[in-house]
Amino acid sequence: MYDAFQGTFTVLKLLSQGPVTGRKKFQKIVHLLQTQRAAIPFQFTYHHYGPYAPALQETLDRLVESHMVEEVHTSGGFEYRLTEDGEGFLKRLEQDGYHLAFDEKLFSTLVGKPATFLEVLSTYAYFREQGLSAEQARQKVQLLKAHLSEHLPEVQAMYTSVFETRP
Amino acid sequence: MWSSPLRRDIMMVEVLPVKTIRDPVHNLIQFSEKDESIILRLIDTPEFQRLHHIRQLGLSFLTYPGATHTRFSHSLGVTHLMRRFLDQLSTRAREQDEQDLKAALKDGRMLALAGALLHDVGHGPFSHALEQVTQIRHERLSRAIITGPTRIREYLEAWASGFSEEVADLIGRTHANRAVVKLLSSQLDVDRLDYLLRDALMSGARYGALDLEWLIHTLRMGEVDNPDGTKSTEVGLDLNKGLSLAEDFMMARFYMYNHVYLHKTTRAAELMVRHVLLRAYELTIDGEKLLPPALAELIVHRDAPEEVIEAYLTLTDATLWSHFFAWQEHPDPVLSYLSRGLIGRKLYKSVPYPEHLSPATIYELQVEAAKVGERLGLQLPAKYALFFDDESSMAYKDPYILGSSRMRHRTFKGVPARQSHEVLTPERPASQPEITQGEDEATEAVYLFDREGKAVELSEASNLIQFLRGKALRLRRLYVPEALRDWLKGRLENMA
Repeated sequence: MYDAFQGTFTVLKLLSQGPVTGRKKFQKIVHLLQTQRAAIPFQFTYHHYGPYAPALQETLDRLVESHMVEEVHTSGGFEYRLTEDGEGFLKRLEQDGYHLAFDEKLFSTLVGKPATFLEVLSTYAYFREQGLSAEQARQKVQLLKAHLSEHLPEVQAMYTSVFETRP
Repeated sequence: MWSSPLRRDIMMVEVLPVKTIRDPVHNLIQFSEKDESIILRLIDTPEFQRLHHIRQLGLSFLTYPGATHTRFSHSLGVTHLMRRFLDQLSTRAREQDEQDLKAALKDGRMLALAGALLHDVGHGPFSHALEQVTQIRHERLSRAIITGPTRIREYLEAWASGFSEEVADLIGRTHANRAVVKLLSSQLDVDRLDYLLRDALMSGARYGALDLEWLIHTLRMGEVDNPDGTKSTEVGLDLNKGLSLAEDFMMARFYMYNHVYLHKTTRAAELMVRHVLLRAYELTIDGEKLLPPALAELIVHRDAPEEVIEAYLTLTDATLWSHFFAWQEHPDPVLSYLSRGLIGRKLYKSVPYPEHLSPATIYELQVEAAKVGERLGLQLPAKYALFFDDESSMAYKDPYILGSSRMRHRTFKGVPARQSHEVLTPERPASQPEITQGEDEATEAVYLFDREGKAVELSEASNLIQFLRGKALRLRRLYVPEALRDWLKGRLENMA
């Protein structure tokens, strides 16, 4: 259900686990956590790089503007990390009952993966969520992301072991 | 006398049956009963007829009384424009000997028309407010309707096996025919063009008026490089003939956002609808059955809305308005206060807030607003005492007009540089970082194509649009009940 601060809380909570480098990577991680049924309030639609939620980027941008998240331009892309102000607001929201249940170990695993791998995994998961079979989803990813198809075997294996066994 | 070949041709033209619909934007919208029978059958399905009962602009009629047109008329307009786009581009493709594009447009013709007709079929009442409450995108509901147990699916499958999945893929932007995907969904698509023209005409705020005939005349399609090394097929305009019109198109968008879509009064009503539904949901959790049953079912099945699609199809604007009327007398002070406000048009008042105001400050202001409200006799908890509105809560996304910081920093790295034209190409300020990876994609831009088919992004070709994009429209506002407006203004002045 809608809550005006749930999106802000989600971004702060996820970045409190550690910094993330790359806008695309962050989008895909959040989408994948949502696929695992974490109550994440952003709505993803299909874009050129796979599932994408404009409101997630806008919320992140707002937090950067408000100095609650620091955005650093590194050689690997933009790095996002929580600031002291961000930590303070996160604590305030948690005191008021805001919470987010998600798989912290999975978050760390995904942070360690390359953005292109996450792009394929997130796209594959998007099609599986739409009700496509493993083979149909594979064909669809092959068609739309032919240039990244070398990731497909590992993506399918990870989806089966991590996402199909979700509660 | 009937043996004359000329006379036979005339007879054939005369007997071709056509269904004609009068339309305020396009005048005559016609469908061939022979070649486009599938479109006519789809129009007559109960699922498509439902769109008569969903207003295109939701609550805008509270600001612009004429804006009561529906998603039904918009969907017909989009289908009409799609056919005009296809006809024009097919002709151009032949001239330019672009056989692949020509084939894609020819093969995808009926797909494009069906997709255009059905692109909004999943919309519910007060579309974005409802999406925020249910957390289900209308695109997912469209897919569920098109591929589910509906008359629409039956007719699509009768036309061709597997056609319903193809149409759903097109609307979800995942169809392999990228040319047709972009005609329906990009920065220069038939959907946006029809709604700008229609909303301008029907609201009476004519900012969206533009020269449609010249736009169609100068339409082009071509390939654009993406930052990841792939190429995208994009819709655009002819660089020499279409530049002024492209500027006109962007200015029309700018004015419509500013004066219609994001009008402060309309946004107040939209936020009130979102919160009255939220309140009804909270009371429902506490045991009272307040929400319309179809909406309650949808919320319960938000992970699998496909299972309750028949119930969803009974949900219209009228369903929700009838509940707002009834809730005016409800004992819960929040539910009745918001409902009375919506029915009697006593809307929350907007106060612009300074850029530096952080979400943390707004959060504390909500708490204060509730306390001040209580002293004035308002029984509103913090989240109902003050609403805030920023780009993340708006349904309309426009990288040119609303320009997130991402867009403002963006450089169009993959676009070939202009060489020989007389238009200006402003230098990127050194302070702006070049984004080499991220979510930016070609589809977020409007392109102009030169004679060789090379693309240039609009703001690189136009100083006017460069300026517009740099000055992104910021409509961040706080909303409070009228009794709290002076308190809030004073409070913000103290913070400045």
